[in-house]
Amino acid sequence: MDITRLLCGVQKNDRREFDELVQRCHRPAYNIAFRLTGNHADAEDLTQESFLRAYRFFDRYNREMPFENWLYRIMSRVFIDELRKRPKIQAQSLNQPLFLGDGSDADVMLEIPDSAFDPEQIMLSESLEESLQEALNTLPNEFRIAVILADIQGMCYEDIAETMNCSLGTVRSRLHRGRKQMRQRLTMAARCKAEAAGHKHGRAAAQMSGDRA
Amino acid sequence: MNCNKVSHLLSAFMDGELLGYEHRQIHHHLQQCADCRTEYDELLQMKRLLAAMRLREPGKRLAASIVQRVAAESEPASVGIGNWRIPVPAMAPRAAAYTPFVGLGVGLAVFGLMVWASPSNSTRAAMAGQRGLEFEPAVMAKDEPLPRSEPAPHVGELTNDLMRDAAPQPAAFEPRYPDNLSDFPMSARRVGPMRSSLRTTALFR
Repeated sequence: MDITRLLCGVQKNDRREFDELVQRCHRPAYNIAFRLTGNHADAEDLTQESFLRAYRFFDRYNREMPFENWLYRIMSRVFIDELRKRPKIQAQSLNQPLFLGDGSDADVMLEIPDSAFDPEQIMLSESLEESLQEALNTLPNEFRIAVILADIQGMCYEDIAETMNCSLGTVRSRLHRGRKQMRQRLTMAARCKAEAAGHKHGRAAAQMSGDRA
Repeated sequence: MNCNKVSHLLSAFMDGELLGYEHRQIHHHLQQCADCRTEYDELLQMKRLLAAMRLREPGKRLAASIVQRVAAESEPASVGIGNWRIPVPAMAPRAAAYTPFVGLGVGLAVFGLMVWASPSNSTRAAMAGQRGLEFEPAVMAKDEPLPRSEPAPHVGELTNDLMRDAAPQPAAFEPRYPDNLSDFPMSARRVGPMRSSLRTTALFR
């Protein structure tokens, strides 16, 4: 058989298989990309670039490994590479005022629900989700990737180790430290916001008493 | 097991990634140590909050634009120099990214081979003269008559040695190195290799 025709046939099969994988995996991939980057535009760029790179190296893909894991491995590398190149996706300080997107400049209190609640029943408020995302953005890259893969994507340690190309012990350490740092930053942010609200309340009270006098 | 060691294993315990002895040890420690239990509750709360973050939806066009970019990636490429375009069929996905470079490399190799394999008569003569050998042009050109001063004698009367003596010896090749290149007109600077390259180009027409 003509070698060009044979290769074109292989390529067509690869294309068909890859297009199906795009249809199947682009939503969870986008969700992971959003949690990594923290915004829609960068998340779409990251998803596209990851799929494109996956296609370029599709002949290296080991079919025994779930495609998602392989894609997330590529995505992690693309994310770290892009982060090095672009100062745009930078960690945001939790001390900055929370942007609500509705034009209001009100300080938002961080309300962490009771841990006794069933996780299925927890409905995160918009402000809490924003605070969580900001806390995620402040984590070092390796911790952030580990936390997102474990707690948002729900992957087991073995898959995370395969995806991040590291040992189980490293995954265990990164996850633990990532979660602890997240907790510390959320607590710190809540404290800062409470203090800011207290100052505002104090100023308002002083102004009211001045008006009465 | 002390609190420091337990603290490092709490996340793995919470995720069900500890087995057997370690799992039982942590479980036992948590029943007795209030500080570690507090830390465990905080970690559990963090995990639940992250798990409860809502699923973000991409734009409707995302899948289509990925497929479109993949299709563009695997389109047949073409390479060439100037007006010469050589279509290169798309191969395997990864190979497609490198086809322009491979095509260009093959083109240059073929070009170099043709230049090397067909030097002009003057170049060949110069090379032969340099080695002190006889030269006979492979193809007779109209404007380059065979360099014989006398009509050829009868072939049967002459031996090979006489024939060699009868033929005029080509002048030894002595390259000229001008002190100042601008003293020479442009036409004088065009030597053998330029002619051979022009001839090779003519083969493609």
